[in-house]
Amino acid sequence: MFPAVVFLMPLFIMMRFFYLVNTHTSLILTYLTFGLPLSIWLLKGFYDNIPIELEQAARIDGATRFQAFVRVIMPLSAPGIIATAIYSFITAWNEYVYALTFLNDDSKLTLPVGLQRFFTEYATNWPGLMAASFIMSVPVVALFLVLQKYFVRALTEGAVKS
Amino acid sequence: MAQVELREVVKAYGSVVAVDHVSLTAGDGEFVALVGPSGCGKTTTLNLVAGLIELTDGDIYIGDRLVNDLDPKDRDVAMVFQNYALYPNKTVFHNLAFPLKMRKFPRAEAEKKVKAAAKLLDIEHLLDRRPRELSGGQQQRVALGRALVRDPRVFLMDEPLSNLDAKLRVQMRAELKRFHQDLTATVIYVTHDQLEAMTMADKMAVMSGGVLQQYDSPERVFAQPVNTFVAGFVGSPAMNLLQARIVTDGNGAAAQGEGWSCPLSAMNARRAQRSSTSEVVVGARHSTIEVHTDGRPGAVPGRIYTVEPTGDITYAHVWLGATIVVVSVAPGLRLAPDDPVWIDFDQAKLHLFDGRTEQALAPDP
Repeated sequence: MFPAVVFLMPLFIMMRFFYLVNTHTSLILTYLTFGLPLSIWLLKGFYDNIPIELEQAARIDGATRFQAFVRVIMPLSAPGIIATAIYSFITAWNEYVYALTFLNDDSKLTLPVGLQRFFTEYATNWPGLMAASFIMSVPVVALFLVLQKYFVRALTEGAVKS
Repeated sequence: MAQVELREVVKAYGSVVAVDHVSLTAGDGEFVALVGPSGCGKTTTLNLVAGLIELTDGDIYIGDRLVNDLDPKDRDVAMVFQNYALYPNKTVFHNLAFPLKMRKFPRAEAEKKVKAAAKLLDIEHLLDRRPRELSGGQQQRVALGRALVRDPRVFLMDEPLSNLDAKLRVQMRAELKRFHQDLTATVIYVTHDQLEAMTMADKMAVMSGGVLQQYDSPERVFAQPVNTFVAGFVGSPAMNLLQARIVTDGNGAAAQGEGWSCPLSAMNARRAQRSSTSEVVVGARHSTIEVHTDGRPGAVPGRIYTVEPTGDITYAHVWLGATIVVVSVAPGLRLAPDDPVWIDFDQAKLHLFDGRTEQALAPDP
């Protein structure tokens, strides 16, 4: 995984060319692009563990390739999809460098960048900072608590073929 | 029910030819077994008939319809997989109903068909369970039931008994054979176990290296193998195949191997003449050879290597020169390793193969 800062300048120039600077769209596109390789790799690990005979059986039973995937394979890979989703979500939630570079307006800032704003030049708003940090971590912790078993499976099952 | 015809079917993966110009016809209602060692192309052939992989060349007809370009779902075939491939998140009932649901059967009718199939296979009491709560034999019945509910034209089975323990396998073999007889369905059955093929099939297709070696009834494949591969593959213990050279002297012709020599009857001598070289392979099944503890004319001297008593029959492994020959003897005969013995081949049941081409040399018509 490349350090984010390597692509910073080229991507900024690209976003400027598309008039996407200072929009959320620029971040959406960036996070999608960087999240894709890891998500694909994690999901492939999960799909490799599903025997191909299930898809073959569904196709013989009357499903088209797409139907076989949606009705038979996808329900089985739900843990994998959830785990990958969590991982992607956490990566995007914490991302700082691109958010800082692409966004200018205070109204558009993401949480990591906004949190940085509590450190002003001569003083730090500690109470505000603490409150904001707490609020920022609540969704993630809640999500993690609810779905933690899938997350662990992502790291073990996805990477190693059982 | 319909006949299945394969015409010069070829499947190649780049330069590797998995199925090499296979042509055969499975008649309407016949049970055809595709047998062969691992990697011989039998599962690939089955998948081609099912439509799960695309043909490289050749044609496949189901009924009278050319099905080359049809999706599996349009070919009206049903398949039973080696590891059953039951849908893990569905109950047995929904596993059985899935094919009907995909074909948009009305619910009431689907339910009726599912119950009928479940009754036939004795799994009615399992309809609410999930596959992981079933034993191997029960899972296999569900897999069969899923194929059965659709009333397809052709049943395809890919080593369905391989995952069962030995005792259950014997039981299911008989049940499957009965199942076929009751349904008069056309079945194409892949197995590496020649015994399964022999006991269950109307016709056997023996394959090796992607090439169809022989396609005939089990009796004929057993009694008249067309080459050394089929001869050595079908029958257990395997047919004894001995390399030999034909020599003729004043007393007639004899097959001479490394350290042994066996005289040939006049008919077998004529057969051996048809070989393209003087090198032949002599084939003799264990049941057509006699072991004597004293010498007699025409018998070949040998030495016992080891003896395997199985209760009903005893298999004696005998050194003939540098080769070992397996002979079945009655349990009463007392034999010990290194005992000198004399081997008598039944000339009428002897097989002869061309030493170079490995093809069978036919007896006089």
